[in-house]
Amino acid sequence: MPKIIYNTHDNNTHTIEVQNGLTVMEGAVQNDIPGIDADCGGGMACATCHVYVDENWMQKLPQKDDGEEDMLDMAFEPKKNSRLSCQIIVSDELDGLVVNIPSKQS
Amino acid sequence: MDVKLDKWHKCQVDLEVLKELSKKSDLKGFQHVLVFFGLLIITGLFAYIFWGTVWGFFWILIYGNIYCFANPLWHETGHKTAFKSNYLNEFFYYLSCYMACFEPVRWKHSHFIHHGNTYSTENPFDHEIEYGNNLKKTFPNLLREIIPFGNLLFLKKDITFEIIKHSLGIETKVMKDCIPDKVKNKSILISRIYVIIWLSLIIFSIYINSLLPVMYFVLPHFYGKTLHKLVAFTQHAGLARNIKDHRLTSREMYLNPILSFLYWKMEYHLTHHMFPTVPSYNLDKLHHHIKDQLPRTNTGLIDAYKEIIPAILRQSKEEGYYFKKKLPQFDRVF
Repeated sequence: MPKIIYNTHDNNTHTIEVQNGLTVMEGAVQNDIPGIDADCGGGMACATCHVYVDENWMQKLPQKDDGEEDMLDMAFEPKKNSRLSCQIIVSDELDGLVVNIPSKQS
Repeated sequence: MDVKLDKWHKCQVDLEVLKELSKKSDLKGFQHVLVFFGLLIITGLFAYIFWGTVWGFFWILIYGNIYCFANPLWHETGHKTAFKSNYLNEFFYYLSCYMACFEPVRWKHSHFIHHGNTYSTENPFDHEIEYGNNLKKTFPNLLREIIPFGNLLFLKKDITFEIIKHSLGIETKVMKDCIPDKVKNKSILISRIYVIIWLSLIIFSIYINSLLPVMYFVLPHFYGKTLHKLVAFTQHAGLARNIKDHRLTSREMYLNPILSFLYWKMEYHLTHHMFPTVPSYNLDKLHHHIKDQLPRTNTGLIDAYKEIIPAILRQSKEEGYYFKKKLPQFDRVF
């Protein structure tokens, strides 16, 4: 199973095995990683699963669509490497993906 | 706990407007909880003064019916939109969870599924729609909830019984479906704390030879749910299931200011599902921005129940039936 590395704002690192096909957000929720609220449950109707993707991984992720871009505009302190973790589907290619969780979601 | 990623339909709204309406406020949250708990103290005091008379019965009923509106406080703090500060949301989340007889870990995770899979009777099952699984029993289940002490007579069907089972370490279906393995022990621990609190209050009541402690802090869930349940039942009852369009699965309704206040404006339920990060105190404003894109808003409880009652009675015989909301922009029904 691919490993996803979640760095939380309190400088803790959680390395979690996440099943292929689940999202990075689901991996966080199922493992009680703090800082991912996911208020809308994955419907891309909020920006409370916002993460900063490690720069080295940005090119390996599928492009954002307009809806995600709009929602990220609502997120707390969005940056160039901001993504909604509900839109990142885990696969073998993402083994080792590093995401940093912001200090708050909204 | 898979989340289906097919995107839910979303109404068009100006992003700047949405940003503005998504701003949270500690002050507004405090105003709300001060009035809410103030009402509980006043009605509780009247119940104490008149206890033993008919008026005591009247005031405890009022107290219990207000107490059960702790449920919308649970909901608002769960979304972290009641207050701007997270520690305030967290504090009132745990407090209102106890009041609503909701074990906080279970309801955090089942609510997550509820939003991602609203009114889904397939996998993953939306456990928050208590009537979704057996449409044949919707009407009797509703009656059991709204008749005072109805749930006490059928305790095995009540959420308190679920807490008792969790406290004994029994893995229920909802625990299996919703609660991640990593936090199951936390759910069991909090369930045990709830049971200990209930038992302590019952023993204290017996010790002082007065029903009041349990009437204040244990039994409101059983005798005071009428008003809250009548309002909250309108959220999804009789509407479409297993469709990723909140306009068809959730109901938008107007309410009088008193109920609207107690209910944290959740009558704008469709708007809430579509934009869950907008605080309740801005839901009415957002509603007015998008209402032309929504099905007709029900004018009140009676108007909503005119849809609901025939729909749930028909569903008891014909499970595939649901009340079809007419979508304005396409002028069609689904």
